[in-house]
Amino acid sequence: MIKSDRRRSNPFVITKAVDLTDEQIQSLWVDVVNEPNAMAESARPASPMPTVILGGKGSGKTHLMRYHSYELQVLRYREAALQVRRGIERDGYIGMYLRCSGLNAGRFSGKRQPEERWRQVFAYYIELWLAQSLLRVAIDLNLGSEDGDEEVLCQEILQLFDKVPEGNAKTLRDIALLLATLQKDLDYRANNCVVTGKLEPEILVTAGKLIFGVPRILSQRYGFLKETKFVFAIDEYENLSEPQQRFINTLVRERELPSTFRIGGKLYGIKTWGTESAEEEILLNSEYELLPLDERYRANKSKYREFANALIRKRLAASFEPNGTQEESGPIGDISKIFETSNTSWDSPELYEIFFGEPSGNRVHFQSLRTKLIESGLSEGNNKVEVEDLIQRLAAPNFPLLEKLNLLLLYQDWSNGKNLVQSSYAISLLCKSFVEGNRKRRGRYVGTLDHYKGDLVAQILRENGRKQDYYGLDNFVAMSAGLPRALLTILKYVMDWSAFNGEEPFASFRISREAQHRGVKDASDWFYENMRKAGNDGFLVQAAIDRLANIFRINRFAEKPIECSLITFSLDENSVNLEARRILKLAESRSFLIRIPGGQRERNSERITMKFQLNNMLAPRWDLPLGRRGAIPLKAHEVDAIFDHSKTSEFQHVLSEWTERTRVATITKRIKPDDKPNQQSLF
Amino acid sequence: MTKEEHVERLERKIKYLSEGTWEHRLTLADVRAWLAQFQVSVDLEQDEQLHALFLLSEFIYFGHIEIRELLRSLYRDLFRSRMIYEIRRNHGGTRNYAEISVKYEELKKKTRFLGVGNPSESGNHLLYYFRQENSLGKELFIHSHQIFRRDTASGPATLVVRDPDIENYVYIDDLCGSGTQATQYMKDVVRPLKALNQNARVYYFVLFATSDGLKAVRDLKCFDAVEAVFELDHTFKTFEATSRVFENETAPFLRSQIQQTCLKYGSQLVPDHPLGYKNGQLMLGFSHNTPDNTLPIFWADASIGVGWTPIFRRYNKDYGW
Repeated sequence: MIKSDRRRSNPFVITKAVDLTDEQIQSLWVDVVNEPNAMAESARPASPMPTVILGGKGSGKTHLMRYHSYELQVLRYREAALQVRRGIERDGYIGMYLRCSGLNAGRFSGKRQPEERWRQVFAYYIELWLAQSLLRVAIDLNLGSEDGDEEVLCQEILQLFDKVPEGNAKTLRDIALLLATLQKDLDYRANNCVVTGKLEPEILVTAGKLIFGVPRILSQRYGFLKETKFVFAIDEYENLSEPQQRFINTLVRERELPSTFRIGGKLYGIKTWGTESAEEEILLNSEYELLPLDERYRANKSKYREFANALIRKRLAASFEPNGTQEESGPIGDISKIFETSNTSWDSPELYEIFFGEPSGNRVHFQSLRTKLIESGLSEGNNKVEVEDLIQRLAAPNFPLLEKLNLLLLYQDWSNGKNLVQSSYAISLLCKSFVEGNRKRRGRYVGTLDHYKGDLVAQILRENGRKQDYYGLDNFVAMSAGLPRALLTILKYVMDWSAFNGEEPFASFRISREAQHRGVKDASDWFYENMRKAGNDGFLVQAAIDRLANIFRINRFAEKPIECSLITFSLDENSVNLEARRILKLAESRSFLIRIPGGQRERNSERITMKFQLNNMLAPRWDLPLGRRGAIPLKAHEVDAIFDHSKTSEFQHVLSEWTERTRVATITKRIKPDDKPNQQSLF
Repeated sequence: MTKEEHVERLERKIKYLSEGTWEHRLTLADVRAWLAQFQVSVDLEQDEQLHALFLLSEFIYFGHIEIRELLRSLYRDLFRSRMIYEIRRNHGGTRNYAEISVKYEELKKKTRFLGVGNPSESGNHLLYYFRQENSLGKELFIHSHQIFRRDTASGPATLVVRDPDIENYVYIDDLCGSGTQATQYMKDVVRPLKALNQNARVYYFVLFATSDGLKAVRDLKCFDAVEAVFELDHTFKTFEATSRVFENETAPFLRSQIQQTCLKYGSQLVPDHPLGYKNGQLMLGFSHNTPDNTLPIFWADASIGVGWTPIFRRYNKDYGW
């Protein structure tokens, strides 16, 4: 029963860039540099302007920063049979990638030492840390040793120190060793000061002297470095404390060419934009550029789709045809065709098959109408509605989606107090006309179908015990909402399920809908569990998202949804309470909610309010739509009830209100039996 | 929860198990083929397929890697440490590593490892991996029949111990369920051996043993030590009052209903032992075989004369009689 290894190797199993080797970073890189709308950082790795790369977990920050690191540059030069010095001269930059998590920055505080002392120690430590990364590159490039001036170069570098360190450093390796020794000593002192009570290191160099001075010396001495930028790429910025970030921000502000910075961090990672210069902040677009990575992806959907396609193709190719063509004509073919999709068009045979052989009157949606009419008393008395006749008028046996549409239109009319019999005649005519081919886009029938199709299909599937439709690559890309890791995670789970289903997905390149459904559900759960903050706040965010999603779900599966494909809401931030605002912000920073740029212009007041959507990755947990169409303005008390966990009873009240609003009122005016249907205009 | 939600949850758990410790042994198709043999019901508490799926999600499986690790543990923890303890005790509690090492090597030379059962059975099968994992020389392994020889030099053939210098005989097996097999060995081998060589010490070490099985073998008072790397106490008996499977018994997974399902099919599959050999009630399987103390719904197949597709096949002993 044990299956082949081929079945087990999932090309999407590694989803974090930190887990990839340099070679994998290189081979899995999707090149968008030459694209006309390429992102700023991708297009300009040699830009002298510091860039802050922000993004949700898994937005690709690390992959991007590592791709531009010296180690990867060298790999590319080797592949192109290009001498490293010539390659750097051509590219115009050297990237030095460093992760703040490796810094263990938490050590530089407390321990009975004043903050000012820690500030000095941290600044010194950063200087030594960054300078070592610089020297590693210089050594690898054989600077000095290959040029016959290493001793002079070293003398010049040593002059940057305020006090020239002991020892007789004549090579770059000597200086690197010296810096490593100084750093080690500093580590020792920082770790032991809690015991000794003392933290008195000798600071041999002023902050910035080495990291700005050494690149300047190198670019002056060596021709190929004349136009080269030395890029310190500091990743995982969220691991630094506020004072530590303030120090780095100060370096960014006071940078001296040819040095510059890239700073990578999570959305919530920036604790301050402040500097040590009289509490001033670094200024956007004049002192740094911002690259909100996943927001860019979301803003350019077609580009993101292309990117996603290329990303998947790379992964598949790396596993199955490393030397093969990457074109759609290759053995893997059109990757979107690997995933079985469904047909949910209005005349879909698949939807019809759900009800195959079942007369319309017996179908769940009409049973529900029948019950409703009976419960409302409309089926009795002198003015009774002939229920079965009405159902027959709304029936379209071959097109269940149109039956659902007819019902929605009837429910809308019912809520508006219209005569149900007349309404049913009118809807019947609209339906007949539509089937016969009259499908003007502005008409009520087509318009409502266009808006509510997703919700109506979801209702059919749910009412009849079928799985919701999140099938196909396009849906996966939409679901990932600009987070490539989310996309890879979906694919990882889908592939795993496909393999578990015994489909041999990597032999047949065909993945069933069942595997996709299960994979998507798992990926959604993964997102829900993994994106939250640790501790109590994480649970509060999840609880708020649960509440919000419940409201959206009520709307989606209601007889009369207030908005179509609802996963978006707007609010006036100033009118909500502090706790609700805090949790809302946390939910945004953890990517549970996505802020819609530009906000929402309110219909009545013309005021611009904040607008958010639930992250698409969460949609399958509650059978919600992936596409964002309608948006609702939430009132302050509703926002408080959702996002402030203490407002349990208030939330129950909001929930009841929503249920009522989306339900057809069963009290309606009686219909006269002799009412003749008015012939209404079709569209 | 609806049935679909229960099924999704349990299948997801089984998928994770299959991808991990179950070594990709199952696919969903295998699971569904097995489940199809049970009946469905609109009443979830009566739904046999749901019962079976639930039990499968609680099944304990030890793959190749785990078995090899357990064999290392068996040697290190049950044999070697015991021997070193004795060496130290006999040498004034010495902590001299070199001295202990020399003595241990001498002791090893006077030790033979044996598998329980005939050469085709799991006890012997495990010896190969046991030798590999613990870097032991093959001269330390013998078959049971090599313990004795027939001496005809002084008249009529008499049974004597082949190598009187051997002091330690270590029997190894994967599972001691009821203790039946060890009892048989006690009669056939251990008693005659001890009668012929009163210095011989015989050990019975297993990877797994039920508490009842261990007690039964220990009560024979024939082996010098009876130990298991992992003791399966009563909580491993699926339908016992203290069963860990039903520790938080909640509908629709009710112990009595599920037991009825297992009895229903178990009595068709293995009429004398519907819940496993001697009412074992285990849900335990190894990469090399599934013990018969496990519930038969998991392992029974056509080889026992009943048409049944197992999920963790048992390779039965065909005694040929």
